Amino acid sequence: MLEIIWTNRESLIKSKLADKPLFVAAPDTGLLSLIAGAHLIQTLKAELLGYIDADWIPPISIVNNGDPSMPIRIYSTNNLDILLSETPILPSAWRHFAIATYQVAIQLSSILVIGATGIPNPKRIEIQDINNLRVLYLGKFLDMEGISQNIREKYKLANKFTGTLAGPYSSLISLMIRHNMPFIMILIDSYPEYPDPESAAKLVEELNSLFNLNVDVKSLLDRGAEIRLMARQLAIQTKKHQLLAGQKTGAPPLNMYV
Amino acid sequence: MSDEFFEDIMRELRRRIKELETDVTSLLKGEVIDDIDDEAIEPLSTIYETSDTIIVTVDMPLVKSDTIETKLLSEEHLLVKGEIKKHIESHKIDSTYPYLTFKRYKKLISLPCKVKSIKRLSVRGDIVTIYLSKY
Repeated sequence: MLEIIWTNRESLIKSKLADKPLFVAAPDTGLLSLIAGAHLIQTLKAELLGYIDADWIPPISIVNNGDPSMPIRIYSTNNLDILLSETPILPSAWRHFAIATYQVAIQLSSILVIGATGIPNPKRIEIQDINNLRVLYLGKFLDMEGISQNIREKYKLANKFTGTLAGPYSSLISLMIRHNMPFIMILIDSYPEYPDPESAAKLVEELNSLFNLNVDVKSLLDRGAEIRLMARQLAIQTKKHQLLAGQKTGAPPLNMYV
Repeated sequence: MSDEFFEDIMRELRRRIKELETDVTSLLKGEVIDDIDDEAIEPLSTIYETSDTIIVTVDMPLVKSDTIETKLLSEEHLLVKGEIKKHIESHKIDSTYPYLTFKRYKKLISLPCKVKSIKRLSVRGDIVTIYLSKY
């Protein structure tokens, strides 16, 4: 069972007409996209558009100051829509999550789907300056219409990823290819097993450059230590799911990247 | 319908139940457990192994580096402690905790094999790396 519940129809219609990309923020290596997504939602004062409800979503409620909400939510800003999952997705549900994301992108008439995750780098501790973090891109959109020249130019100049990818985003990529939907994945050096707000800040800088967001990362960096503490349990659960995936696919979840 | 048909169904059912058990068990194991009585947070850690060394990393955001203590309690257990620069209110860690402030990190780490001694310690970006000599 999968249901996308739109809570703000007027904003949904505005989003559909705006030709915006959809940023998919789900817990994965370093919790990069989740930390970046939450920061974007807060800083850009994103508007809640709706939720995903499905039987593969764990029975979790996110409660903020007495206000409960569903763990997988959809937000809208002027330049970008954001699909945020505050719960790790079990490996058995990765494909379901990909299908749900695709349905959201269709209903929002998204021009592009963007995902991001960490490159688990055991030497990450030695990279203290975020400008020295490796940033790699992969995607399929150059031969498709509707993508801005800025994004095309930026992608052409970027370092490209070569290797094998596993995880929730891998299922998403497979589905995007199957349905010929434009997508980009951004991979950034991160701690293999710890939340990485500094790498998330680098991701926000990349998104700023791609989509003219102009989001300040200083506040994210200043709160880095606090975020690492608060995200401990989520980092452990995400890691467990990655290990489970390794057992299922027969491939090691770590160090699969260039 | 043949016995084989029902056997196939039962085999598939057992396989799916096993998968579900593994998923649920993995989710329940290995959570961090903070020591509320000692006002101590259990930090995240990782363990890597080389042929002659165990490398333990411990993520201790806001730790006062001059208070970091490491001690081998036995050949297979390492204790890591450190005071936190800015005391953390418990509700920021977990809203179900009673009201208190966390003042330190503390973790007892089970090592994958017996070790002789702590070779070296380094601290970068609030991540402590401990090198231990194997036998």
